[in-house]
Amino acid sequence: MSSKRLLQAKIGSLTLRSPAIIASGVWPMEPERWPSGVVDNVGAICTKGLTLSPKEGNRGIRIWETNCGLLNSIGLQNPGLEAFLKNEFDQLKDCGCPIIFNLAFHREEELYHLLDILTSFGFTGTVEINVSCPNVSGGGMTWALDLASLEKVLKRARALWRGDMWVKLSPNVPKICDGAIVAESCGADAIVVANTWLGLAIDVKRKKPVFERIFAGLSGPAILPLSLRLVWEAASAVKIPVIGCGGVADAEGALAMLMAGASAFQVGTALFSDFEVVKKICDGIENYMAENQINDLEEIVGIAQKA
Amino acid sequence: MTMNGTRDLGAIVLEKFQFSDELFMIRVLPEEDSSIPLPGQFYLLKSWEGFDPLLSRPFAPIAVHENGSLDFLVKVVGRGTKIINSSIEGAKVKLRGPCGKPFPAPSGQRLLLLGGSVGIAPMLFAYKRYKDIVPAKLVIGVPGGEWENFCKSELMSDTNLEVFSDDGSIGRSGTPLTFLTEEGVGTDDEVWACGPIGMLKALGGSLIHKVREDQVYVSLEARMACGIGGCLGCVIPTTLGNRRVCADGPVFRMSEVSWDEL
Repeated sequence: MSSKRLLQAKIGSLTLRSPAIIASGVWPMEPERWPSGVVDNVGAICTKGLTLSPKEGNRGIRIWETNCGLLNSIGLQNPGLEAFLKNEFDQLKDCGCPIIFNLAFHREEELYHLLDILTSFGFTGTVEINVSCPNVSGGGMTWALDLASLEKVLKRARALWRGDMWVKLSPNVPKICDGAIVAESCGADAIVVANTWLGLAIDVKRKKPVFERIFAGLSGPAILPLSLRLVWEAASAVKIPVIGCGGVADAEGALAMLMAGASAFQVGTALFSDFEVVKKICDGIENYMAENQINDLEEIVGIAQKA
Repeated sequence: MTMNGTRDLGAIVLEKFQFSDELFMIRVLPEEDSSIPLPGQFYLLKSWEGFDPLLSRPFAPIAVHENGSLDFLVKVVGRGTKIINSSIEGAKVKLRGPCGKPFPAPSGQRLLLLGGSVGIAPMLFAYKRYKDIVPAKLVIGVPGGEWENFCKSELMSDTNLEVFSDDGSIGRSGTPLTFLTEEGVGTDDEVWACGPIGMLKALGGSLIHKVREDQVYVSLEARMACGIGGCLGCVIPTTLGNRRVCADGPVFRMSEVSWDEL
């Protein structure tokens, strides 16, 4: 068990058995669909993005492969938080690691309502607030870009929520530090850096965009260097833990995230290629730590910035 | 073993049967014990390491052998299938599966199996599996000449088979739906189909008022990423709302699918 402790990652009040967190929107919410053993090394699992009302998601093509990457335009398809809690959460709660509620909202009242619903169901764990959606009540600009609105909504959310609050930032902003500092000043317990990058695919044969909503989110190994840069910048701007998200697909990428300043990292698209990826990453990190006589993951976090 | 048995498996290419430059069958043997697939279930397959291409390609087996080896019929349509076409005997491939829900057990009535292009694969597998249990007829449609060696191969021997081709160069001229128009279909017949979306859409029109709605099943193809119902990349509209082709399907009741919205 001693080697297991090596990988523990502390994020806010949570001690995760490993720094590898399954990112929102990639993993089935039905544990009977999980291949056996696949989540044994997982530190936490983020739910799919949950909204106040059920969402059908987007029409047309939803995924498009790119070189070492994947564009997606799923459109937050979900049954709504309340239906999720009533019908899906029970089977998830004993899965062996913390479940993080990923919450998405278009109007500020929606977020407050989502937190109220969680409280009314007796849940006091961790939420991951996705601020990449457009702020419909504030002109349609994404929350992550409208810092004054972001501050207002996160402050109120902090006052409403007793559990840990992670803020999942958008990479599609001029300066990641701005949102990171706002989240920290509002009392976030961690920030997740970041989300998918807005991209575009053109169907050359049809001479038109692949996706009905034109732009879509890019994930996968292709974006790792971009994520590393954002993690580096965010980690040097705030003291709360940074959770790296975007392009981790092997132990080297995960170690790079940690060394750039992330206290943990999320894995998403890589699971499409390999169910064993989290185990391989954890084994790789453990081997690295053993070879370098490192006894605590914290020793690696941000080490590249200190060099 | 999980309930649905979907796993990532290493496998070895035992043999490759080239029917034409861009049409082939690949026989692979999983390196570990795995669940035995039923007709309609499928695997995600890749023959490359790393993340480029990122996603494995979905194929329903055309045959499953006693030693656990699986045959997949592959037509080169893009980068992934082109790389798979370059696999040689002894090469390592990766499988994820079996994925999805199979066709239900046959009802006991005559089973009419309609396969178009690579959609023939699960239909031939179903035919061989159920032909001794129920009267079965396999009707296939192929584009033309490139498929000649496939249609003449041993795979098709000893089969109650009707072949149609778009250009009439193999079998009769037409599509599997031509068979329905010309030969008719019994009210009690059970109909299963897999093929291009246009063929499946037209199938509804060919069968209307001729067979019971609950006896017609289709197996759909979709772009997909995870194969286990997580990413929601492969959903289709149905009368019951969005359904995932990889996990709720790929086999659906014909009447369930909202064809006009596809």
